[in-house]
Amino acid sequence: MERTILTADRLTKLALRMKRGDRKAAGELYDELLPKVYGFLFARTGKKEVAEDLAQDIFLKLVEKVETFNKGRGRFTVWFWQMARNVLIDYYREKKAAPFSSFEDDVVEGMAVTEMPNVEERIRYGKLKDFLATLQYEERELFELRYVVEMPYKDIAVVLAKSEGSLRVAALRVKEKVRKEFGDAA
Amino acid sequence: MKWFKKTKKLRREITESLMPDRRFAEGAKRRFLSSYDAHQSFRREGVGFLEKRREAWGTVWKVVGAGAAAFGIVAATSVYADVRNVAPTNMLYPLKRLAENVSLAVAPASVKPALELSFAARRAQEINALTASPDAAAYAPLVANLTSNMDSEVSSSIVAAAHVHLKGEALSSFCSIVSPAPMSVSSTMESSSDHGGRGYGDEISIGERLRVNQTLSAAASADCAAVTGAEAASADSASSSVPSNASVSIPADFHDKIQIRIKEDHYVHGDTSENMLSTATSTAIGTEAPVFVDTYASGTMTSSTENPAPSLPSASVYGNDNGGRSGADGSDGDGGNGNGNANARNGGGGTGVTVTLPIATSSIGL
Repeated sequence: MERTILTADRLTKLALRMKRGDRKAAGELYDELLPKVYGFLFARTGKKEVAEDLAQDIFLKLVEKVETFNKGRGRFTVWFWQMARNVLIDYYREKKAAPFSSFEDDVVEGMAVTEMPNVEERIRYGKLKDFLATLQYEERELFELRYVVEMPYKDIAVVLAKSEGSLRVAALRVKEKVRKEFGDAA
Repeated sequence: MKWFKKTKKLRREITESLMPDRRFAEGAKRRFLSSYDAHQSFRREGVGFLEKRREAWGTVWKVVGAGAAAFGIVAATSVYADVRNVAPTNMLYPLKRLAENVSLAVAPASVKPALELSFAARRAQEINALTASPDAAAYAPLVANLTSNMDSEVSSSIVAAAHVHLKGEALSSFCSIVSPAPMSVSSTMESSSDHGGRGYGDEISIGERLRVNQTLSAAASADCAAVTGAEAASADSASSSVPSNASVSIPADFHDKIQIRIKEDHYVHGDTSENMLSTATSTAIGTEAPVFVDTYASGTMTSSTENPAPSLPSASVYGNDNGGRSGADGSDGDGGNGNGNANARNGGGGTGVTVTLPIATSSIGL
């Protein structure tokens, strides 16, 4: 948790430097955020190309909107993930796709073949995919933000506009499911 | 602890399975930074431009604000100086003149002749005050300047009157105010007990001022002559007289000058209202002859003398109180003069002038 907060503070500082025109800070911020953004989008959509397109859209939007980031209103990670989530919501609205990715098997398999030559990775992703399908919508969002993006509960509460207490309760349920799913395999 | 390690391993597994392709990551980073550079350079130019424009407008507004504040101060002070009619020796006097010029500039054409005349009356008053002061000698240059101003204002009023509605008879009457038949100051009037301690001739009005200074009188006469086409009155003419059957109608706005005079006389001499009005009017129109004043309000005239009221707008010529009086038709009087000089100047008979003031006495503070 503390590590997460430190990371969040560091990202806030990078964002402020980027806001002032620091190109190096912009690059560092990109390096820190891209894996999480891509992972979040991929987990949500299940489609590599969509995740890549949306990830680029999010970072382009970051370039445009970083000037509106106000440190006094909260940490940068919260602000950023709210923006990322809005991009995803807009995508679903335009595509009229279900929030839950149906994880069309042929698409996933295709991706697994082309993008995951590593068998172990394919196995891991397959397990993840199956696990995500068992989660409810809110649980899945919480899982992605907590385990993929690695956001603290406090920030997740802001992004999802929920109370921290209710998130912790939901997190307990998710943890139980994770333990059941991956506990035996671990 | 086992669970913790499992969770940590799970997280690592999840993260590794969701990592982006390296080629995509590098290409996306290049595009991201290019977009960032372009945005930054546009922002610098735009902000710079906006900042410069904002600064420029800021400066403009500051200047405008300062100018408006200065204008307001000057305007307020000018109005104050004008209302208080400050003396030429007052430091606010230039602002008073400024206020006069502004009021003249914005006044309708029909009002300008009287307005100029009222300003000329002010100059006469100022001249009087300076010449009557203990330091009169020191103020000689100032008096000369004010005299020049007054002449200029009188001339302007004549020209303005010619171009407005004052034409023919009305214009002649107007000109008679500013360029009357020149006469010397009456010693009788100066020593007249009716006027109390201060010599009447010590104070002058426009008419008297023009009369005393023959040059000015001639210039004013020339102005009027040029406008009216009448011959200029001779400065040396001692026999010129107030023509009988003259139509002398006083413009309504003339009462400003009279008012100044009346207030001064009332204060200094303690005259009765009738005498005061008579004296003031005679001085104002520049005649030494006694003046009988009939006043009326709203067209209803009441005569303060036994003389029958003349019909408006003309006036009739009457003899003075001590002498005989002519009839209403304006024939010359044949009686005593009460004012020997008037007799002599007017060439026979106690002739005076009855003027009808188109104002009520109450309106002039009586």
